[in-house]
Amino acid sequence: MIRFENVGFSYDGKRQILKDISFEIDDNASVGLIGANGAGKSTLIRSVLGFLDFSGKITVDGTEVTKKTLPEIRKKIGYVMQNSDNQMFMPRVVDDMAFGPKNYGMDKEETERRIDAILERLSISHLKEAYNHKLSGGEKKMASIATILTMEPSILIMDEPTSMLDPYNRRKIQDVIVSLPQTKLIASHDLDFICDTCEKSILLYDGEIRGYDLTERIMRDRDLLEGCHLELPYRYQ
Amino acid sequence: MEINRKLSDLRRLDELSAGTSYIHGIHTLFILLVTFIYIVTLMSFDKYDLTGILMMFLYPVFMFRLAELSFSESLRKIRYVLPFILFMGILNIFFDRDPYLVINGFRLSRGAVSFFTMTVKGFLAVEASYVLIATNSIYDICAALSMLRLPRILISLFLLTFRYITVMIEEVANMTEAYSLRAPGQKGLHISSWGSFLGQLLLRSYDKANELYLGMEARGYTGDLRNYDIGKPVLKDYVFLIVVSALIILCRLINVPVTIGNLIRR
Ligand SMILES: Nc1ncnc2c1ncn2[C@@H]1O[C@H](COP(=O)(O)OP(=O)(O)O)[C@@H](O)[C@H]1O
Ligand SMILES: [Mg+2]
Repeated sequence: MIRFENVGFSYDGKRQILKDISFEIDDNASVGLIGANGAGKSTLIRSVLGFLDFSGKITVDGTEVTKKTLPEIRKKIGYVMQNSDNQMFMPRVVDDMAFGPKNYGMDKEETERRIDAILERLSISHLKEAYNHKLSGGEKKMASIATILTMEPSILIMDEPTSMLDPYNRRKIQDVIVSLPQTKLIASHDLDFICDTCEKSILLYDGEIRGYDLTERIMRDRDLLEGCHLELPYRYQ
Repeated sequence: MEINRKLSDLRRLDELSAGTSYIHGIHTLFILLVTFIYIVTLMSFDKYDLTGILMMFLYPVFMFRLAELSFSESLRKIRYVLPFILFMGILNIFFDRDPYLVINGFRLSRGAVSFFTMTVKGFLAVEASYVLIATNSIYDICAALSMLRLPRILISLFLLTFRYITVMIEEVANMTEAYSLRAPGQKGLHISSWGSFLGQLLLRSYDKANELYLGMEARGYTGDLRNYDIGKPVLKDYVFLIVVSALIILCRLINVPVTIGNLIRR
């Protein structure tokens, strides 16, 4: 469970990027975090991961996010970055997938077993020995999700997973995300994608929560969306 | 483009380190130790001992073989370092003019000999390090260094420098590409743009470096690779260490040209 209580944040000490944010995400829920560019989606995500010095209180499974609890928090949360190039840094996909488990001191056989199972599950076994810098955009995104899954997080947080993907790969990522059992928080301005992957959605505008409801209810509310510089998803237009 | 080539040089090292040769299968810690022993042995040669050092060529020759590396490729990779190696010894030629050897009026100065010796030493040390880097990922090497209880700040510095350099080069490549698109027909970067270019580069790489660090932290990196598991050494690793170190020391003790000379004279 993720819980925000009156969270605020500012990069420069002047302009508030997150303004008094409070909400809760239940276990195994899938929640979309939608909002126009600059609404504060990435900033909100980074605060959960403890990368920012926010005010207020964030708890993950009852543990408050502080400097001291960071290792524990990060073990729980799998963070799929917007830019896969920043996420992947080992020569091959398999090395990258092993990096997390190796850091947690997991033994070789167990690591290997996990890697194979996850590659299988994402149907990318053929990419196991591939070099990261030779992957296409879609493959790279898949592989970066794979590197996160090997750490067996109970919560998945993704920042704009479909940016830079073509429709075919977007569809593949969508199927994978839907099939994952974890608690999910997915930031995106791709509203159709959120409709297909998340039961509920948080609508963020200028650092404030403007709505938190069933995805369908938010997505059908033209006035609400347009007031936040978003357009109705295609399916409801 | 030159920058893209440098980048692919670095990437190529990554690819090499994922190879499957005999040496790739040896535990990183043990290759690290052997490399260290080799370099120390190399440095222990007297600076006029040009003939003695010849035997030390055996090590890179065998290691390249066993690791299935290409010698000419290594030369291309280390070409930026070679001038420094030459430079270190070159002053000797001017300061140390006493004769080392005079044959039929041809005079070889002590300075020239020590210049050659130092150059060869430097070259061999670089080649030995190349074998280490080309057969092990930088993460494995850092994990091995922390097994040796090196200060974590040093290891962290080493690792992140390596990680950021790749990114910096990538950033420069992107920016020069963007620049040249809008300055067609112009060769290089006009001097008036240097300031803003550099400023941008710093800002961008700062952001990027932060991002990368977050990416590593999000996967359990905590400032060093102390818990990073690079496997347990097995028998063949110990055999490798013992045999190769013994051979290195043997090469240190036997001066082949001199030994042959002595045999002939007898
Ligand atoms: N590192 C930073 N320093 C200062 N301001 C930033 C930084 N990152 C983002 N911002 C600002 O914070 C606001 C929210 O950004 P972000 O969280 O990235 O939005 P989103 O992900 O919703 O597009 C933007 O106005 C952006 O300019
Ligand atoms: Mg964002």
